[in-house]
Amino acid sequence: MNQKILLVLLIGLVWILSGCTTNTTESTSSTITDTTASITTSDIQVSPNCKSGSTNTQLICLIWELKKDMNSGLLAKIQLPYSVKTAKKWSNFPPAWYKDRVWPTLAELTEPQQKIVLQILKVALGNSKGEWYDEVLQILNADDWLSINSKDGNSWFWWSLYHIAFIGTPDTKWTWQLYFGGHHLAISNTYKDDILVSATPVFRGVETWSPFTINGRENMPMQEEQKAFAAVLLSLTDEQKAKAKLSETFSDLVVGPQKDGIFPTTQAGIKISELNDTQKNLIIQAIETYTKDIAQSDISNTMAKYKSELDNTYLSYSGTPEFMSNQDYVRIDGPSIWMEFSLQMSRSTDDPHPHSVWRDKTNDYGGNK
Amino acid sequence: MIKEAQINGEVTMPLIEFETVIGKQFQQADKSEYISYFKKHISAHTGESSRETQITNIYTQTSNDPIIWNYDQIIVDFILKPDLQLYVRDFNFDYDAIIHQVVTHQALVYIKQDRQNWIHDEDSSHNQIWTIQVDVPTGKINPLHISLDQWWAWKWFVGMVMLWIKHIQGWLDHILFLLTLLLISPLIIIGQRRSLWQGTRYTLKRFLSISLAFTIGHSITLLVWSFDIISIPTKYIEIAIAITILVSAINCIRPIFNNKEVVIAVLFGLIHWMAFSFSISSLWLDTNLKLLSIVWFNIGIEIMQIAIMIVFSPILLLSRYNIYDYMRIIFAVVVGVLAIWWIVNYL
Repeated sequence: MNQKILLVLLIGLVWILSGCTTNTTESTSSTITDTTASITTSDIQVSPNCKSGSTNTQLICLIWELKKDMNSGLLAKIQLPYSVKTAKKWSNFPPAWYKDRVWPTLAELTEPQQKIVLQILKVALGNSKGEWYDEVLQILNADDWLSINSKDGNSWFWWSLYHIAFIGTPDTKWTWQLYFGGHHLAISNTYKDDILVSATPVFRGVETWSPFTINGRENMPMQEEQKAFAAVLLSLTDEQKAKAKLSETFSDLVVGPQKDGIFPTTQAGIKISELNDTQKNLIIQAIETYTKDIAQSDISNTMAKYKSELDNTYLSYSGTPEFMSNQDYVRIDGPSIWMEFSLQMSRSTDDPHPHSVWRDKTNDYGGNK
Repeated sequence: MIKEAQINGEVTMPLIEFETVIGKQFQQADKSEYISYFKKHISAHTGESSRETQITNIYTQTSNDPIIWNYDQIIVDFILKPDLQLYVRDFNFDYDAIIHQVVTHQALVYIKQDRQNWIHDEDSSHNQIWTIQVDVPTGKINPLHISLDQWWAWKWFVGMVMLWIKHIQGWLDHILFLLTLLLISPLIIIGQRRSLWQGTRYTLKRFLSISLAFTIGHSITLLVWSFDIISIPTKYIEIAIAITILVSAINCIRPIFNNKEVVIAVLFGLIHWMAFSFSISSLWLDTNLKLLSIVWFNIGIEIMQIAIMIVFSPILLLSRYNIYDYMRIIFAVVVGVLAIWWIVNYL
């Protein structure tokens, strides 16, 4: 009798305990739960309702379209009150490394909503082939490529892990900012009085940095930028190179995310006033690979400002002037302009990849603090 | 790690960055060159008094960081010994290895162990308190001023208590083990089975002798093993503990030991506290403080055991009744199954 009880008990207990197997599967918000085809493959046309007026007005229209069917939870995430503190929460790191981005990801939106986001970007960023909008699509494609081909951490990369937000309610009068970003990308477009007043800070990077085919197209982002900066460096005479070359080594940007406002007090490198007109033009072209990629002429006064300050701007670099190897680095440091472009290794692939930032010392986040 | 009269440090950095700085691939043959390099870039000073840095070891390994993935590291062990002992806890740390060249590099500074502040690296979350990096506006690397609190007895005591609490989750198995022994204490063996209640005096005598035996066992263990005499991987100890529990659970159902419970209690007590001993031995404490910690911990265990015995003693009175048999067996079966589960888990 005792033995039968024991047997029953034993079986019962084993059964119960087997159900108690510790099965901790931590799902972080950065793992891929959807593998739907990238939104970048969609043919995006800007809604005809929103094609008139200034860029700012068009954006206001599109954002209204986007928000009109959103539930209040999502609305509260995507529409934030204006604050520079919020605006500073961008990074180049994948979401698994930088967790402070507070805005919704594309994955949290419906497909029609995602398409409106792309329309917003198209209007804000310039929509000719190879221009900023097109380049952003390629950077998103690169994350899909990494997700499949990376040596490690594949679940951290996907097109739908990018964030969108409006910091400050879009309007024709007061200040508001468009944010879009994620791995290797941060866009901060500040608008006021119906014009774009600032397009900085903006982070642009990509991995992999060789041509790749995915999502139905050829992708080669940031080649234009690299060529332009290499052309600048290769145009220098040996004497000029010696002046421009920094003895330090750079494995990343100096004034990157969360380093707002912390610029070196002494400018290093060669003063651009010492260069000839051809070289100066090459520098302008290199700068324009960033600045011309904005959709409207409101930003043209920025280029005018940089041109007028060119003689007091410094060019410096580290590594090789061909600008293709690991630890190659170039910097443009002027009274207002700050641009850095760094080539570095990662754990995902065996080749170097670029990180770059364009900042404006007086006008980041529209000059607001 | 802050000791009485010196600081033991360990620097870890990506090998590839180091090779960038020295301009060539790492080779054991060039070790003396690396020693000079690190002596130059790791130092400390207090006022005018500066410290001589001793580099005790340089080697490479592959890291397995879950975030940063696998990459080759170079590790440098060093010792900073000030002229005056009081400077051990208040000094400027001049560290700029790699950073002097790769200006985007950062060094994270942790205190892994500080006896006086009861910081020990049992937790994987080390006490990271500082970052050494280039100050961008000036382009300089500022020395890090480190100033640590002096020793407070209560801090150490609090640390000890935290350690107990941390181990409490591991105490379930010890408690269960103790109970399997205690539950049979009121009984004697009749043939292949156990009897019922044999009287208060008998119960008390057995009860006390078993728990005393367990205490002696683990006291010996703590004393011996805390001093780092032999080292056995924790995994094997945990399996051994689980086996002892299983054996004791079986004995609780059907006698295996023939009244030798006291001996068993000593032996098993020895095994059970090995795991904690290794924690103590890993703390680079001076002998005095180690003994003190052992005594404190022993007291803690005793209190726990006495508490359990007091709580469970009324249940022993139930051994007057037949129901006790079922209770004892069910309990022993549960414990036995758990023990099997633990063994399987650890393998």
